[in-house]
This record gives sequence, C-alpha cells and structure tokens, in this order.
Amino acid sequence: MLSWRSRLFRQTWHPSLEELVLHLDGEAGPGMERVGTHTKTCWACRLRLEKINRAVSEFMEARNSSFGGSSGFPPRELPNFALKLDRLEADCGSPNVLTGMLRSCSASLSFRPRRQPVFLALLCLIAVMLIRLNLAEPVSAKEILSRVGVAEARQLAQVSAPVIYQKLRLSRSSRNHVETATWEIWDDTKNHRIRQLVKNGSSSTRSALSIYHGLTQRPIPALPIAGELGKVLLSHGANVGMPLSSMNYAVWRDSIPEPTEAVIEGRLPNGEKAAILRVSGHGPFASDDIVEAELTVRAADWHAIGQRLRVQSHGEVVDYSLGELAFDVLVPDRLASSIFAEPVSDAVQTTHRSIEKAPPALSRSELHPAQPELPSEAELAAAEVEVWYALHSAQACIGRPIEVRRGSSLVEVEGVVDNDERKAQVLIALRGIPFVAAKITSSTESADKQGDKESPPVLEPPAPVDDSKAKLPVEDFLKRYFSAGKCAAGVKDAREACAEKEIAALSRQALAHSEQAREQAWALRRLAEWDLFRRRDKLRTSTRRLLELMVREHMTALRKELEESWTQLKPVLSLLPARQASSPRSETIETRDERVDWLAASLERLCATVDEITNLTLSTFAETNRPVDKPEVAMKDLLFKLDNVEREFPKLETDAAEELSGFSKTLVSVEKPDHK
Amino acid sequence: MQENYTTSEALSLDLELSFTMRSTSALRQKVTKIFELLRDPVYRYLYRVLENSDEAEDLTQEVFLRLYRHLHQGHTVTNIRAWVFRVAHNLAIDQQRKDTQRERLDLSGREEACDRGPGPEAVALEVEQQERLRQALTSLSIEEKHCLELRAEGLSYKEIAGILDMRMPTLVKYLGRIIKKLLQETAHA
Repeated sequence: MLSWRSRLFRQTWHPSLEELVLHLDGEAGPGMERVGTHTKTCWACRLRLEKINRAVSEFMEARNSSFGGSSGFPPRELPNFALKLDRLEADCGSPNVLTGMLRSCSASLSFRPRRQPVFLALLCLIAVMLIRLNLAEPVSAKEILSRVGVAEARQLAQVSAPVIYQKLRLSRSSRNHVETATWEIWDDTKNHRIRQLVKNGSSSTRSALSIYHGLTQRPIPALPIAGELGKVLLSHGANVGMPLSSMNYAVWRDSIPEPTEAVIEGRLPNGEKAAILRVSGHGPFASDDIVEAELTVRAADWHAIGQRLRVQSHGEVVDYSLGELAFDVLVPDRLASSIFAEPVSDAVQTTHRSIEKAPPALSRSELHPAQPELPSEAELAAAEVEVWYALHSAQACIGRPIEVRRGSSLVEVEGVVDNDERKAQVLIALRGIPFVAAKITSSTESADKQGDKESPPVLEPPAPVDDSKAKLPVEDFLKRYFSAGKCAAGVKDAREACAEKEIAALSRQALAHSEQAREQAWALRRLAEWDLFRRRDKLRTSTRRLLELMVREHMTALRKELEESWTQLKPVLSLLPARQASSPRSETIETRDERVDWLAASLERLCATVDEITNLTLSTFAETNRPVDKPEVAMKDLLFKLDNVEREFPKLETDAAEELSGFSKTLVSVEKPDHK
Repeated sequence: MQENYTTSEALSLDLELSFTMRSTSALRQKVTKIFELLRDPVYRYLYRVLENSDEAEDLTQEVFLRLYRHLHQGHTVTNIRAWVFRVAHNLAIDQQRKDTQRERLDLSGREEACDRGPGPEAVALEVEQQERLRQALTSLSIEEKHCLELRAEGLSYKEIAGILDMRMPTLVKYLGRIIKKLLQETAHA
C-alpha cells in the first residue's frame, strides 16, 4: 500500500523542462528512467515533450533550409588546405619526441590529480629498479676466477685431448727500456708437449722456436724477453703453457704476502664490458717476487684476455704485460704434423734441464707450409676479415679503397694512400695480423716512381667556366622559398643577400652530407659484394663479430648522414606542389628472396638508392652550366627517395643486426674449423 | 538530430590522441584523416554561427592547422571531436567580436532555395518560416546559438559543456532556457 504522501507525490510530480530536454536528447542521468516512465502515462508531459521536439525540429529544419547550399566544406578549398598544411609542416619540421613525452606526462599529472600518487609511486618503483639494476653486485675476485675457470674448462671440454693455442703480445717495461714480442704457444695437453714461437716485436726476421717434452716441468721460451717471464712463471710454479690464464693469476694471488685485492669494472677498447682483478702486496720484496698482478677478463664470456705482472728485479720493478691476440682450442688429430715435428737441425736454443729430446728447429715455411697444409682456409679467412676490420678502424675503407686480395697462403693488401703519415697509420693498423703481406705506398712515393719511369704528363689548362651562367638549377625556387620565409624581413637588397647566403649554406651542406652518405654506402656495398660476407655462416664466431661490427658502424654512419640531409632538405622540398602526380611508386629496400643472400641484396639496393639520392642532390644543388631539364621533377624525386629511405632504413638496420648477430648465436655450438 | 561520424577507419574520435613519432608524414596523415571526418560538421557549425561562408571556410581550415600544430608540439588531445569543436567555437567567438560590421547572411541564396518550391503557396510558407526563424534567432544570444548548433551537430552534453566551458548542470539549465525561448517564439508565431 502506498502512503497518501506517495500517492500525492505521484499525482503531482512532473518532469521539468530540463529533464524533458535531457530525456529527448537521450542523455543519461539520474532519474531519466522515471521521466521515460512518466511520459508514457502522463499525457500532459507527453504533449509538452512533443512540443519541445517540434519546436527544435522546426527551428533546425528552417536553419537547414536557409543554409541549404552549404551542407559541407566546399571541395574547391581542399587543395588550399593541403597547401597550408604543407607550409605548416615545412615551418614546424620534425616533431620533438622528448618534448612530446614530457608534455604528455605533465598533462596526465596536471589534469588528473588522482593519478599523481600512482604515477609518483610508479616512478619511485622504476627508479629503485633501475638503481638496483645499475648497482653492480659486489663480486669477489674468487668468484670471478671461478667463473673464468669454469668457462676455460667448458671450452677445453668441447674437444677431447685438446691443443690449446694462444697468441699473445708480450711487452716488458723497465725503468729505461721497453721491449715487445709476439708469443705463440701450442700446448698439447694430452702428450704434454708445448711448442712455442717467440717473435721479436721490432723485426719479423729474428725468431726462436723450441719444442719441449715433459710432464712436470715446463719449458722456458728461448727469446730473452719471454725467457725472463718464463723463469718467473716457473719459479712460482705457474703454467708456462698457458701464461695468460685464471690459474696463473691464482698463483700470483697466493704468492703475494699480505695481498690487497680489488675488482674493477671497466671497458675494453671495442666497448665490451670487462672485469679487472688486481692484487698487490706490501714490501719489502725479494728478487723475482710479484709486486702486483692484474688480470683482465671479458665479461661477456668470462675469458681472460690480458694480464699484467709487476716483478721485483735487481733494483727496479719490471712490468710484464700480456695481451691476447688469438685463442683457440684445437683438435690434435687435425693439427699440422709439422707443429710438433722432430728437430731437423741443431739451431735450437734450449735451456731447460728436463728436455728429453733436442727440440727441432723448424723454419717458418715448415710451420706454415704453403701447400697445402698451412695456413688453413679458416685462418686465411680470419686474417682477411681482420685486415678488413683493421682498414675499417683506420677509416681506410672509405674514399680511395685499399685492395685486399687472397693469395694461396697470404692475404695481400695493396693500395696508395695520401701521405707518409697515413701510410704509417694503415701499417700500424695491419700490424700483428698473421699471413698478411702489405704493400702500401704514399702518393709521393707513387709519384716518384712514376717520375722515374716517365716524364710528367703535360696538363691542358681547364676549359674556362662561364660564371655568369653557372647557377643552381633550383636557385629560383630556393630564392622564393627563403624570401618568403627566413629572409622576409628588411629591404629588398638585404632580403636578396640573405636569400643568397641561405642558398649557399643549404647547397653546401646538402652536397657534403650526400657525398659522405655515398662514401659510407660504397663501403657497405664493398662489404656486401665481398665473397666472405656471402659465406659469413662459415666463418668463426669471432670473425663474424668483426663483420657485424663493420656493417653496423657503416650503417649507423650512413643513417646519420641521411638524417642530416633529410632534416635540411625536407622543409624546402615538401613545398613543391602536386607531389603525387609525378612521384614514382614506393620502393622497398629490403628484399627477402630466399634464393639469394637477402642481406647482401638489401645492402646493395640501399647503396643504389643512396647513389641516386647523391646524384639527384648534385644535379639540383650543385652549380652547373648544364642544369637538369626539370629541376622540380628532380627535387620531387629526391624528396621521395629521402622519404623512402627514412622510412625503410630503421627496419633494414634492425634486421641486418639480427641477421648478423643471429649467426653468432646459432653457430656457437658448431665445431670449430680445423686448424692445420 | 544526431549525426554519426565515420569512425570505422581506424580512428576513434573519442579516444586520446598523441603523437610521439618522429615522422611528420605520419602526423600529417592523421590530421588529414581527422580533417576528412570532421571538416563538414565543423564547417556547418561555423557557417551557421558566423553566417558567412568565406569566414567559415577559413576558420575551418584554421581549426585543423591548429590541431596539427598542437599535436606537433607534443600535446595530447583527449577527445578529438570535442577539441576540434572547442577550437572552432573559440575562433567563431573571436571572429564575431571582430566583425562588428560583418556582412549578414546573403539572402539571395535563400531566395533561390525558395524558388525551388512548387508554387506560390509553398513560397509563402517558406517566407513565413524564414520570418519565424529570424525572430527566433534574434531572441537568442550568440552563446545560445552556439550551444544549439553544437547540439545540432550531435555532440554530447559533456562535450558541449567542455566546449562552452560550463559545468553539466549549468549547461542543462542553459539549454532549458534556450528551448523555452524557442517554444515562446514558435507559440507567438
């Protein structure tokens, strides 16, 4: 039963005008259902609702009919809008990503105050996580040594009865003398044989070779520099067969009285992370005592790659430093027999008492016979890639390229460089790479040789250039652009001068960037066309890593140059009208044809596009007596190609990196190539 | 009275929109798409409140150029349609303030529309309707006209309240008052 109050209320309540309007417009709100129910039963309200509806409808219909011919935005204005948008786009340039992100963050904070605490809490959480991630966990030297030991054991376990090959750069520095040498060691762990080759660093002619046999005693290398270190190693009971190892560092550690130890995080010259273990003792020290020892370990695979020993000598401390040049674990059966061959002459220097047999004296040609055993295909390939990388590091891969040829037993490097200083730089870069014959000449040497042979050619004077006609093919367009934009202010003369200055600066920069981009593209194309690049899946992991580094660095440099070009030219070029009419179809750089090496093909295609961009830039922004027929078409093509590269490049870069690093991952488990 | 916008082309006009991309071409593409979707209602709105087709054309373009600039600067738009109409509304108010001597709607176009009628009776009715409209229009303030036009363009009350910078209850009362005026005018007629 409803109360009298409820009944009275139900009889007297009618929705207000606002409620009816809300109901009419279908706006959700409290009490709207009640309005709906009420209007169904109350004829007065229903009438009112209809009145409102009719009044508004009539009003709007009348309005519509009065604006009958204007139901929409006139199509004739569409090109005008596109033009305005073009101008705006050109004026604004590229959007600032960082500003955008900051603004959106601040907007979300200022407009939604309830989110503030959540956002701050999230920020704190991220900060804590980042700090935790960045904070290096305190790792003890013992733990690092244990990891290095495990990694070494794992490497040795891959091959039964392995021969450990180490090639080290050894340097000895005392108070007034520095000496360097290359020290190669083949340690046959099964047969307890060690073969050592020590080469004096200053000349390749002087070398000494020893073969030793023995289980408990290890040999001392013949050359004085390595011999001294060998004595130190032996006197402390360290392993001469593997001088650069975690085991030896542990020996130094134990031999130092009252040691002070530190673990330092560092970076290798190639940017990889490294851990440096350092242990030092407190004097006084006797002769041959270790004063300080240091071991550098590559963090990526816990491999020891450098060692430094400071040894107390007579009245001075001598610094021995060992740096790894090469390391491999070899299969003994497939090793060239000449490496552990018996002696053929008595020209061997032996100093150790435990020698069972006189060591053989092998010539270099016996160590690396030309046919067919030494060097192996894998070694030559590795040497060739090292040469390419050395030239790349010395920036000798761009500009006038230096030729790299593969001989039967050597990698031949030949080329002409600008001057003697550059020649020295290139030779230094190539130093230490095995199986390399370098023939680098400077321009002056080359000219001298030419001069000896023949008289210098008589150069004809260059044809005079008609300066009055020489102007940029797009000069008129650029003048209009700058006069309407940057140089709009001032009197006419000042405007013209300003426009000319801007045009000169723009063309200079455009040409410079496109030329540099072309140089990088050509270097990439040389890589892509390189035989070893196409057979990269057959290379050693370390060799492939060098290949990957070269491709990455060239692509990064190329991207930078293209971005510079794009940023400078886009605002100007995008003002050209009716782009779509003459623009060619979109081109994809990356190609995924399974039958060919897609990466090489994609890189070659990229280089072709960069070539086209450079040619178009030259034909439009370089002063010439023979301008292009249709500069506008050339500019549109240039814009299109820049746009296309800008769009396609990041994907290609990512895919190339994945492809190259992917090989490294998949081939880790593959057996190492034979070492003959 | 409600008008549906084509939102099927992967662009929801009610969603938050922000650009954090590097390429201007992507930004341009988005703004062009929004322009295609909203240019007609915005133009219609501006034309009706300004009663000048040239001004409406210019201001319609200006609205979308402002959208480009706004997004380019890294701002975020929480509701594209509401944002666009709010800018259009503000531009229209500015324009109306400036145009103290603005040219009134050209009646010749309306006369042409009347001429399409079948006979003199229809013409007379049309003229009468125009008269009623004129009376109703004169009774409404600029703000009220804006409000009514926004409602006619199918914007929600929440969106209209945002554009006119009002609270929802105020807007409801405001609309009620406008409807009351319209009812009075039509009743007088």
